[in-house]
Amino acid sequence: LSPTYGVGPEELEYYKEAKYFNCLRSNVQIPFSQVNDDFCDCPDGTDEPGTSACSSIGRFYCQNSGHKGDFIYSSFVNDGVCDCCDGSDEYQLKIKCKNNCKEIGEESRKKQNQAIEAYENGLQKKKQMEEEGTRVFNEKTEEITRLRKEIDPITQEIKELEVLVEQKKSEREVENKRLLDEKENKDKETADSKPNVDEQQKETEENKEVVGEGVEQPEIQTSELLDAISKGKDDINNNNNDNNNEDEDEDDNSTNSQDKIGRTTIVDQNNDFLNEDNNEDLDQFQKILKSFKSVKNSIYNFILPILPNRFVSLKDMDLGGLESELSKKRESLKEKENEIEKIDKMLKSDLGVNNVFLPLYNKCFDLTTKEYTYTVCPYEKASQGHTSLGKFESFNNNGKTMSFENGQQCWGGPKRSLKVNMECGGDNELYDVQEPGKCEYTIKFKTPALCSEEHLKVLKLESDHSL
Amino acid sequence: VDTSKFKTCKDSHFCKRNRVSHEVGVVNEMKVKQSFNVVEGSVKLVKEENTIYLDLQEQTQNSNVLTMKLQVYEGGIIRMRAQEKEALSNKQRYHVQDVLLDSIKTVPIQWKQEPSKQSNTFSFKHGDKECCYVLVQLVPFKLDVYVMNELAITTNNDNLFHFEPISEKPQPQEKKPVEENKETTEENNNENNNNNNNNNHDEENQAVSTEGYWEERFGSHQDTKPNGPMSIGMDFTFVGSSHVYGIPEHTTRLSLKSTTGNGINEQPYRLYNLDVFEYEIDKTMALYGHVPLMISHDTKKTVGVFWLNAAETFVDIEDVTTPVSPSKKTHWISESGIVDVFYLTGPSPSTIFKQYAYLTGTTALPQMFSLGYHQCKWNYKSEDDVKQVDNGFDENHIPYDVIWLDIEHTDGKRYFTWDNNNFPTPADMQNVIASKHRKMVTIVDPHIKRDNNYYIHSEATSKGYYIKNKDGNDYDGWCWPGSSSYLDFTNPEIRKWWATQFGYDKYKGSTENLYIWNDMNEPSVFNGPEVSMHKDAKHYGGFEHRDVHNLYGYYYHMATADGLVQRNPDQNDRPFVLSRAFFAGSQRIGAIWTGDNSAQWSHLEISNPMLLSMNLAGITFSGADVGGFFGNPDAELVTRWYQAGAFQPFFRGHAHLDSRRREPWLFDEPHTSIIREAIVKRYTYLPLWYTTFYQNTLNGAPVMRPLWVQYPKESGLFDLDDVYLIGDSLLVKPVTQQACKTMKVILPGKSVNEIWYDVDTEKPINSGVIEIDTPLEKIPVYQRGGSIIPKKERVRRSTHQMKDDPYTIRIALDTSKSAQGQLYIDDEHSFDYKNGKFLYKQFTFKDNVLSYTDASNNSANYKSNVTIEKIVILGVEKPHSITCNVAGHEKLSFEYDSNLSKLTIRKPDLSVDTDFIIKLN
Repeated sequence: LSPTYGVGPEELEYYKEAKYFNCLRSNVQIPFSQVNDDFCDCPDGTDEPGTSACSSIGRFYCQNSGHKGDFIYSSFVNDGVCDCCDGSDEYQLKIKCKNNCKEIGEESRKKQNQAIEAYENGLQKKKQMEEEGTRVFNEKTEEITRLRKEIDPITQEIKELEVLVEQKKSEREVENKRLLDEKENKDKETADSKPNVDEQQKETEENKEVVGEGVEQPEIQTSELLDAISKGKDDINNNNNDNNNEDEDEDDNSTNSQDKIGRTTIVDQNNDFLNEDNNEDLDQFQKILKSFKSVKNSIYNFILPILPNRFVSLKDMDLGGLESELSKKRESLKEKENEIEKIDKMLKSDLGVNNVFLPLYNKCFDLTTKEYTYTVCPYEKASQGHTSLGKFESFNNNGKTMSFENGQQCWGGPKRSLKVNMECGGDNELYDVQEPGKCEYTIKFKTPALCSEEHLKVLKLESDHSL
Repeated sequence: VDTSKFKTCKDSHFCKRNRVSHEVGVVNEMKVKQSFNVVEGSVKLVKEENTIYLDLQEQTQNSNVLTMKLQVYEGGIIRMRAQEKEALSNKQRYHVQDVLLDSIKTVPIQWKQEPSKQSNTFSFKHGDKECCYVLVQLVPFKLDVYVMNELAITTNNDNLFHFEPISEKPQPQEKKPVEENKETTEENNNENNNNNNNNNHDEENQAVSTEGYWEERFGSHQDTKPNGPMSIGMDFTFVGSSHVYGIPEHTTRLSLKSTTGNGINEQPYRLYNLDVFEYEIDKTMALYGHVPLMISHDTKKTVGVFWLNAAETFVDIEDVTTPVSPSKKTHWISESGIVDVFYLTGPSPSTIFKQYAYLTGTTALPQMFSLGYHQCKWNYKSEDDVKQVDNGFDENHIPYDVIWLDIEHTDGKRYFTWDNNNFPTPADMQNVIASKHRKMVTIVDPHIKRDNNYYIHSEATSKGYYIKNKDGNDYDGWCWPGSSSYLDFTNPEIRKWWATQFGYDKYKGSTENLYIWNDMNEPSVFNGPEVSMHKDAKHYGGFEHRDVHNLYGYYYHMATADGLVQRNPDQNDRPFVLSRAFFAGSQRIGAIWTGDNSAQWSHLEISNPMLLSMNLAGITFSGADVGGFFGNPDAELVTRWYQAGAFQPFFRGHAHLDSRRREPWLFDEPHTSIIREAIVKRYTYLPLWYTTFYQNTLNGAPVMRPLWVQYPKESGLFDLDDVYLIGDSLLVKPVTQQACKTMKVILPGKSVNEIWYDVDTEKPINSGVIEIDTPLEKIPVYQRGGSIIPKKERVRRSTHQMKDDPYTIRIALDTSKSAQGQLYIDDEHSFDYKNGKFLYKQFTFKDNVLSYTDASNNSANYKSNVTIEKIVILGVEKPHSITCNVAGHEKLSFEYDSNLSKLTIRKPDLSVDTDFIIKLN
């Protein structure tokens, strides 16, 4: 046997005729005559490239002209099974091997070309996915920014409305009380002096002016309010037009804290008032009315700068109108908050490099086998028919696997789970579902998102080699 | 395990009333004590039959007269049989059939002391020597076996000989129903009341004493017991013994624990083949198969008792001081059958194995492929799955020989059929596997789906081949396919019919590369008592299932193996059938595994004692599921299990349907590499395994051997069961503990200055206790100094591809610088070896000369072109030159490693079918 039989092209130079042979991967030297003499001398097996003598460690190179050269295990040499397409591994002729490298090579090249084509196609689609992903990402980023800004005014509106509703409520209570007192006073009239009643009436009227429905409000107050409102509107516009994100955040914070303080004050005072005993004397009552005036002023002073234009009409509304407006606002706030949460969750998810996985968001993919239809919704959930295989947990394995955990409990087993193993493909497509452990499923997912330029290079290189 | 599903002694009435010893809450007296005397003048020698006859009469019940036969067989075996002298004509006792070899022969009785009127004893020799005899005492009956002039085994020394004569069921007596009795009691005055109480008490007493005689219940199951009580019992004491072994299969240590006496309160060892779900360690509970053979060993002798009975049997073991301290008293109780006892008189371990093999045969020589690695899983799902697993071995460069298909491969658990969706082209699939010279095994279980469209069922039904229930209808039980019936394999005609079902024309989709796995053959009946068959079910010959229960799986295994032989026109392919149930003699049929173990360290650990126990009882081709059947082993456990399994006789990875896939490459590195290394080691030692199995066919010796078998005088070894020998040359102590970093290894042979060589380092170690490091890749294996081991160090895809590969001979020298060993070679698959187509060779190294000679008494002639490529000699001095007497090989080249005193003869290239002499000069 030639000393170079079974030697790979890259190592041929070490097998040139000489007095000694140096084992390639161990520090042992043997007479060159012992190369390929069917006796294993080198611990690394490199002295027997062409025989099976170093069966557990050696390797044999098949030339495979017409196809691509390949290494097989030394133990496959002369074992009665054709492993090289050129039959060079079975030279002892225990079995007659056909040389079908040409056919295999052609077939393989065809397949390789198809694979490369599919890969290139996949890479293009991947670009599209990245573009789409990034576009959507930016859109959603903008949307969330906008939504966040919309939230603050609504919050403030709600606060104000809450105050107004409370005021209206307490006004009504006071009015009711007044009417009640009046009735009592009328009963007492015979005994008591009139001026007292007048004074009381006057006070009540004043009170009415303060918390009344605004019809009888003094003009000066109205104009002040309007001035303040137009000023506030300008401020908001300024914010929208000029401030960058960071400033906005700061603004949000500051308004929030102000809001918190203001609200506490009001609520406290309201509470004081509401907790007041019903049999209070008039002095007490007058004090409260005074404090209301001051509260009213402070609230107006506080709220006016940020009230939107249309808020003006609020003063024309009755309690029912205010309440329905409040619930409308609250609903709108909730909607926006939900939307923000949704977008936020998406933006904070692992979307892969260049948001390549984002186009899979909110999408589902099906695979129908003989028994079931499997559905995988990336970032969400997976199922086998109506049976849950789990909720999306994370990407693992360097972004090559999607894990779904905590699916429906298995009888006598664990909760169902699914691992989606992703690989490069021209389209997003599920295939090959397996259950390697009880209720532990795996499925393969071809997606352009997993295609890489580097791997394509490798594929092309392999293809070049096989020519 | 759900122990409530399985009987203990007190749940089996015959045991409850026969057992002497204590159980919590149970009277510690035998319920019905008997005493047997030899009837005066009844002792007769019938020379033509080589048999002594005598009658025995029970003292308290004169009508209970037994006739006893005493015989001596070749090789120092004594047989004692006893049954009713005059049995009822309509009822019969079962004599175990088809277990003993036809070839066994009695020898003429040689009196030592003839029976005479003057003497209460007589004696006869069981060998040619005066020292070895049987002494029979007439009143009361006793039988003592003497070995080398010392009492070795007593019989009935404790008067536990018990024999319930078959009787007619007493007619129910005329008496008032109990309810009515009670009513009258209430109406009666005090005096009468007392009387009535007494009456009731008497009736209760009677009820207790005959309780379970004519029927008994266990759980929801009723046993009608139409034949009534017919149990038998006997005590045997192994005199001077502290260690008894055998009676597999149990999960206790090899040296059997005492179950009673000295405050011990264990269940007796139970022998009743059962499908035990999730069995536990250190239990005397019954398992899937049993061999009623017990071996006793002490420093002076090795003797045994073989209790040939196929019915449910309990064995109590007790440490006693009489007649000699220490002794092991054993009490055997069987539900039915006759008293049929073989005394194996040893006196050495090797003679015990010869004696037992003489009676029940040796292990069928396995085909080489079946000694390779087997890959199984419940279930490989489809033809593609099978091909992927097959390729997985090649891709990962791991050798394996057989891929297995469990029950899911069938069409609805109808055996001999295929699931058409997943296995549409089974023959093609087998051919793909066979193209790499590998094999496939499919499962065929004994329960037959009751489906009129299933040909096996319709044919079996029309031929009346099913076991019948007590009412005479086909027995119907629940198993994998749902409603199932069970063929009566105790009937030879049915076995013959079954065998034909394996014909290639009958078993569609089967090929010559397909072999068979028999599971569930205890038999397992999911809805039956103790997950098995009702004892009152009816078999061939009018016997009840209770009589033949432990034989059912054996017969089934036998019929299947016959089928595999007969399917080939030349009938020249050795069968391979793995069975879960077994009985004495199963070794002649095929391989056995330890059933449904668990992926736990304790189950790995117990696999060695369990397999050693089976090996002592003749079942040498046996193994445990690698990885553990139930559950999921972690990478460390599975790796250690492969290392252990690689050095156990039958080597198969298997896992439950619900377990994760665990092909060797599914574990992270370094585990896959270490598993590969373990499997590769297995394959390098195949010539040793094959030779050792051949030697078993000559001498019946265990393939996997407890150390005391080889070193019978070293009492420190008698209870070791975590370390063993393969043949007489390779000591193995697999790591069976989690996170084991170091361990102690006992290297035996101190008395003979044995040297051992670590097979990894090739360094010599003196006998004694050593402490070694056990990193994950370490399998502690040592070659005995003085041994010569044949190996094949080129490892291929499967055994077939190694057939023509050259041998490596590893010689390890002892202190006298000599060694010897054997090599057996044949075609590795056919029966031709029985016609001399084999080589059995002797290697002898002495005085620096290695000779290779015939060891077959010139009975062997097999031509082989296989050569020896390498001879390694450890513990030798460096020679100047090496010469050989074969032309063309006169001068041999070599290398010498002075650190290891290791000589490697390079490429002697001597043919294995030619004798040679190699001299170190």
